[in-house]
Amino acid sequence: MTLILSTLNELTDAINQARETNIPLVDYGIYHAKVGHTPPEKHTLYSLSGDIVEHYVNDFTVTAHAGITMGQLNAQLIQANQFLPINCDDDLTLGEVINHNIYGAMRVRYGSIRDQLLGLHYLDNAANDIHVGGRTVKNVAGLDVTRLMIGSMGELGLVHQATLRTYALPQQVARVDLELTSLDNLAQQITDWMLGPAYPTSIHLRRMGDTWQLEAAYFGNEKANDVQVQALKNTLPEDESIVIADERRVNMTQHLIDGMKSRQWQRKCKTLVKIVVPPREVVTLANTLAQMGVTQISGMPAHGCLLAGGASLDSEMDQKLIKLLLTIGGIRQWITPPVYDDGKTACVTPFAPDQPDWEFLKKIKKTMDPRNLFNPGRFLENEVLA
Amino acid sequence: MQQHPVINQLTQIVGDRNMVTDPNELRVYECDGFPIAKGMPLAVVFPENTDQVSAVVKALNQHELAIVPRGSGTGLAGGSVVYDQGVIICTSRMTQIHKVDLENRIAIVQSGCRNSSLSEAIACTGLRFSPDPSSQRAATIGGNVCTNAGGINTLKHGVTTNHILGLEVVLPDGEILQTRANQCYDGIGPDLPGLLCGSEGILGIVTRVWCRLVPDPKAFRTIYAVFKSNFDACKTVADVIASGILPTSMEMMDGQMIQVVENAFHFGFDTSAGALLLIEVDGVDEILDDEMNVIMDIARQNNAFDIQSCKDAKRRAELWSARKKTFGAIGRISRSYCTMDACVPRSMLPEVIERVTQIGKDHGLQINNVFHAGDGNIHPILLFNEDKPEEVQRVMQASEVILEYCVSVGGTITGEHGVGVEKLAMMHAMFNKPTLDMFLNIKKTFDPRQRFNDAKLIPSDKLKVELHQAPLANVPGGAM
Ligand SMILES: Cc1cc2nc3c(=O)[nH]c(=O)nc-3n(C[C@H](O)[C@H](O)[C@H](O)COP(=O)(O)OP(=O)(O)OC[C@H]3O[C@@H](n4cnc5c(N)ncnc54)[C@H](O)[C@@H]3O)c2cc1C
Repeated sequence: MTLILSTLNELTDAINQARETNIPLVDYGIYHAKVGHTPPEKHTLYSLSGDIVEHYVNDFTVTAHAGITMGQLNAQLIQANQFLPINCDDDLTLGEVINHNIYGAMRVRYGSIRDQLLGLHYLDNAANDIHVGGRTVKNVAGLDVTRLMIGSMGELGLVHQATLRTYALPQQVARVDLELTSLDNLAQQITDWMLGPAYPTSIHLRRMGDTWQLEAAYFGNEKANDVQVQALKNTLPEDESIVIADERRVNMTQHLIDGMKSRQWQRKCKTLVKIVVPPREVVTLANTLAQMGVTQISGMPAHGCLLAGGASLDSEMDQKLIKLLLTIGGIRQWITPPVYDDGKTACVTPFAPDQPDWEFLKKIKKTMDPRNLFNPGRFLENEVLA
Repeated sequence: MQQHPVINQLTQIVGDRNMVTDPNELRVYECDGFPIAKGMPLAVVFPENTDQVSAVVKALNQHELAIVPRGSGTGLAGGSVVYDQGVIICTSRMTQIHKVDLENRIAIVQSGCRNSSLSEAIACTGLRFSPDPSSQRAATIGGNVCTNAGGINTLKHGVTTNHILGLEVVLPDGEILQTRANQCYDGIGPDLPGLLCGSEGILGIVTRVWCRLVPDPKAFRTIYAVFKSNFDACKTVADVIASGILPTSMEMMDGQMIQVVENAFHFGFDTSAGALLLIEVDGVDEILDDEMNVIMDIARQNNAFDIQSCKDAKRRAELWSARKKTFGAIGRISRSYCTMDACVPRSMLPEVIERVTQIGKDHGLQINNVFHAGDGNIHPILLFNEDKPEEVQRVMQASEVILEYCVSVGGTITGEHGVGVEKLAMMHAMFNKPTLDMFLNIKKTFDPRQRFNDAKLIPSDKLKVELHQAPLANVPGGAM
């Protein structure tokens, strides 16, 4: 059974109960339900629900409960001609987005949730309401625990409210789908775009069958988009190694819906892994994955991040992948890990290769969650350093 | 007087030329850009690399001495001041740029590298390190990281934390820690570099920084709009933000500041003006005129009586130079002044600036304003005569009332200068006890013995700084 918690009282009660019974609270989210080590056998599953607390329309900031879904949040912001530029599915809660440092193709221009989060409230082990950061776009009062919480996988406290920047809804999105015969020129091409007027708002790479496609998108008014799309066309190589496959203009709502459609494969995949490498190495990574026979690949080449999925990803391939990452630098985490024949137990470690700060992060976990009440063991506690 | 035994040990680690122990020379390190707070260090050590920093920290720990990290000492909150006869570890000789990696858009620098040195080193690459505090010629990148410095560009391009990918830190026990994956744009787990940014040296010494480089915009439009009143200028700022346009910067000067700057530097500003806004947009050349026109329309609707725009590099440089020289000019009208730093929601600016002026009147003080209006980051400058203790007292009272008011409208006690020792007492206005306890617990996780820049940033019983003097005009005191 999953507890659905909405009010601060309900959250406080749940924490008090967890403390009294020593039964931890567990929320792995929806998209990340299989990320990390499995929770201890005895636990209380919970999820949050929520709404917008206040939309400061003229300040371009919004305060919302962590339990609000991104779909709900954006639907309300869009009514005020604003939006939150995070590429993620509508059913993810804001809390899940924060806990997993979600970003997508729009990171090129808008950054990740790390850049958009201004403040948050969380409950600690003793159910104290901790408030860090605030409503202003600049703030250096106190330690920046707001950012520490990003990517913490719900292990450091129970985030229940957050304040974020919002952005003006663009008049239109101009999307250009490019087909690439090879990835050889990709890194250079992206750099060229970023250094000139063709600098896209969003860049997304995906493998379609045997070919690579790149979607460059521009957010602006018609005139701005005309200028930028033309600039992009002007940079395409003469050898036709990158050609335009499709071009269209849509509104933001449609763009977000299309984004979700293009991510549907990730949910259906038997296995899915997120890999981050130095941006220059993304071509090596993508080519290696393709050579391994991985057909489902997509990602954010400008930030060196790829998602790869499909039946072929198993523990043997994982070993090869880790070996590659030890050479080129980088990390990987399984979103949906391959499993043993029992159909349940993952046959790979959730995160690898080990990072030099993990040992220290364990100390932070101990400080912030001394009773080990929040998603215990998911990332830090059980991490076995090789 | 007998020399402390640690001095010999430290000299062996860093060499004679990297030590200062002479009391006369030590005076320079008695304070930072917030000269109200003063403390004489036992010594100042200038390590040249991470291993030396680590060895120095371990040696100081053996002697149970307090340790204070320092970059260039331009901080404005007393963050690098020593109490308890501790030792300053100054990074200003760790200036190397290890690597500029254009393909990955990353620069790896030693923390003592000055902000402008990195900018100069990458000037021709089309990329830049975006954080641009006005102190960038002097301030170190490590200092920028530990204060999470902002600048004129912040409005569109973000503060330091938005541009840091990884850090190497010498922890208070002398161990070396590297955060986040090498040259990657992402890590796994809690965001440790995020926590270290703005930590004001209480968690360790940053020794190396992985800086994100971003494309350097090539096309600009700069708008100069003059208003009869502060209110109209602030309303323009609020309306531009509400329009959804995101300028690179929106800086404001009030009428008195315009007069001061004009009298000092003769830029051709209208001295009858009540307020002036400098606004800049950057991006794709062909579309900047449209954005500029929208902003100019908003300014007109708010009664701007003189609006000029330029895309000419020379005039642009002049206008920004005027902005950057404002603080230098204040010294011409007042020997003493106190520059405050707070941040409020942008929509509140018109009310906030009116209220600040009123608070000044209530306390019989002249308050001038020059600030990062687009961020809501105000810097009221309180002028006074330091020879009149009663006036100094009024300055301190007015400062407190202003900060309390800013917090009450959803703002913060500091937008960019930090807490240091200056704002310790105000932390209770911002945070509840459990939050302050949590800060202290994090501090203890890094520094169980609590000897590392202790009693800064987090209020404690250990340090009660008497802030009864105010800075003189001839010391750097104010953000620009
Ligand atoms: C004229 C002037 C203009 C300014 N303009 C701006 C501005 O526009 N925006 C802005 O944000 N600030 C501004 N400042 C404030 C100041 O310059 C910044 O805070 C700057 O980032 C400090 O850098 P620094 O190297 O001088 O650090 P310091 O002053 O030496 O130290 C600042 C704090 O950081 C800690 N610290 C420094 N280096 C390290 C390190 N390597 N590891 C651990 N801790 C460290 C210190 O202990 C201290 O707490 C200005 C100051 C002046 C004097």
